[in-house]
Amino acid sequence: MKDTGATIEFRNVRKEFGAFTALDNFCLEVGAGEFMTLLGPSGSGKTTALNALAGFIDVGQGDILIDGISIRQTPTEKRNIGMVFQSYSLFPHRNVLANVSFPLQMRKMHKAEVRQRSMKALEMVQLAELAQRMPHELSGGQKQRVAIARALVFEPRVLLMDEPLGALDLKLRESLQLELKALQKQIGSTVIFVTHDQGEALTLSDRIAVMDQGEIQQICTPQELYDQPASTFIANFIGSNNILRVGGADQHSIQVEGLGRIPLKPGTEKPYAVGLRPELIRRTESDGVPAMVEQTIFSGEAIRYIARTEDGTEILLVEPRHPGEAPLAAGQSIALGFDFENLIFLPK
Amino acid sequence: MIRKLLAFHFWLVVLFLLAPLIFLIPISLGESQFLEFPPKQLSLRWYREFFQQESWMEALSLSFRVGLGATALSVIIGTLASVALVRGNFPGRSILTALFIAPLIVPTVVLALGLYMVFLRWQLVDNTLALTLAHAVVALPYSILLVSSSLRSFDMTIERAARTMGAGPFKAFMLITTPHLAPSIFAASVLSFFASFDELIITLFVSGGQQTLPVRIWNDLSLKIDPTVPAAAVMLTAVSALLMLAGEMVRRRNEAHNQNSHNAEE
Repeated sequence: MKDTGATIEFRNVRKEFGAFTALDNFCLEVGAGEFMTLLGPSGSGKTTALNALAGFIDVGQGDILIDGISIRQTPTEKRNIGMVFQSYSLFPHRNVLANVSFPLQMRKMHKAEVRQRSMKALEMVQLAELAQRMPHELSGGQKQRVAIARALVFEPRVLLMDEPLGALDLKLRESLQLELKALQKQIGSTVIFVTHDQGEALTLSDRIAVMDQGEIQQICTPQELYDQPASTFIANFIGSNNILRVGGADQHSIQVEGLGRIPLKPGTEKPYAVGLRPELIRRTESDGVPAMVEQTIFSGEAIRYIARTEDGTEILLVEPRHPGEAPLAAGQSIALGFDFENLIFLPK
Repeated sequence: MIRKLLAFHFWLVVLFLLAPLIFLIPISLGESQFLEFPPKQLSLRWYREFFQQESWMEALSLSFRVGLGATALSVIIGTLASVALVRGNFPGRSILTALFIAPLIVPTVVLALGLYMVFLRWQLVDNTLALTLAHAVVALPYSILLVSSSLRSFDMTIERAARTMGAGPFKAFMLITTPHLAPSIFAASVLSFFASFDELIITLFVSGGQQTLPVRIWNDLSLKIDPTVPAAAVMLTAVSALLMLAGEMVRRRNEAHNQNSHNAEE
């Protein structure tokens, strides 16, 4: 892996559109060569952050730095940032090769070098043989590959991607994800990737910044985000989860709906709610929480059960499927086992 | 029954629209000194007359010069104004749009009178450049309407993409957006040219002694009537029809192109 990526820093950036605050005191530091994902629902400010970095919008307050140098006064064309858009944004009147050559032509490179580099970039996305096609003759996946080649051909130190796979179907999205990840490793650019798809974020990112209402809610590695979500909002947003309300508490234990009394480590505060991942619940013979199967959902590699405990709480559990073994039927009684250390204590 | 009625109606409308030509073409092909329908003898005498009389040729040349000038002004100003009107975000944008379109709606006589008064004050009557400017005012709405609508349909992120790749705002517009606008700019120039080429009323007011082709026809009609006028009119119509046809073909080709790209999307 080459070390060619730049560091990026947002410093207290604030951006308002009329009465709507798109970014509120937004701070983010991205390391050189890091793959950073901004994850959040629409309207959370992630695209605004990207547009501010690209120079499409002027930030109201705060500063943005690339390699420690403020770029607020630098126009878009001088920022040396590659960008891929959800809508592909290929130049409709230029063929594939001319699209990919464009950034190099803008840099006044020699014709021969432009051609050689453009073809190399197209080979990287496996589209060299379509170099003479026009954009309207390509499929969605091919278009986005051309757009990626075009954004990478001038070896920008920063690459921005605004929901680049959003318009593609699931299968294509998954294969392009892997391709993207491999390309980024190979090139070493710093990437800021915007998506509302949590699966995509988990697969691709070195770190994920979860955004909501113009602010970062949590920023950490995908594993940490999955294992230790900072709030109920994130615990619900990332993967599936059982969010269980917390009732009465004393110094040593709390009352959790569905699970009963749970011991509290000394010095720990009473959480707002408790999360329990459905794949971390197992069926036991006897010493678990008694429950009844309400619904069985077959989803290919796994079986999902919706069970109801005696106090009426709905609990989701996921089991890998064992071939030849019949899944439980609705109405069957089971006991739910779990480990205390797998419980996620959610402060809000 | 209804179908037959509709067909009848259709042909009636077509006949009504073509009636002037049905008379004009045979008259222009006559041999006689006077307007004669149907002509007793066919000849191209009056067409020859048209090209041999200096005053006709001068009028034709003036019409072309003013027409081309007005077209250039209309297309350049219209395209630039469209960029501001479509993409700008400033107060009074809709009022400005209405103002640009106004010459299409304001009665021509009123516009002509207004221009005449302004031109008198600044001593611009009988000035070819000023006449060109006056025609550009009438042609401008076509450019604004056509180019604006084409610009509105262009995805702004494509231009933004070009900006990220190192193209400045002007370069990005010229290299990336203009090719998309080209068909509508072509259509706008055809319409602008004819707005000027056909223009009579404003020209009568502000041209002083200068005669464009329509003014020459007009003056001829009020003095004497000889068949050079129908000959000129027929040629005027033929040129119009040809250019309109070219414009329509460009538009169709472009539409088919768009259709293709939509199909590829699906």
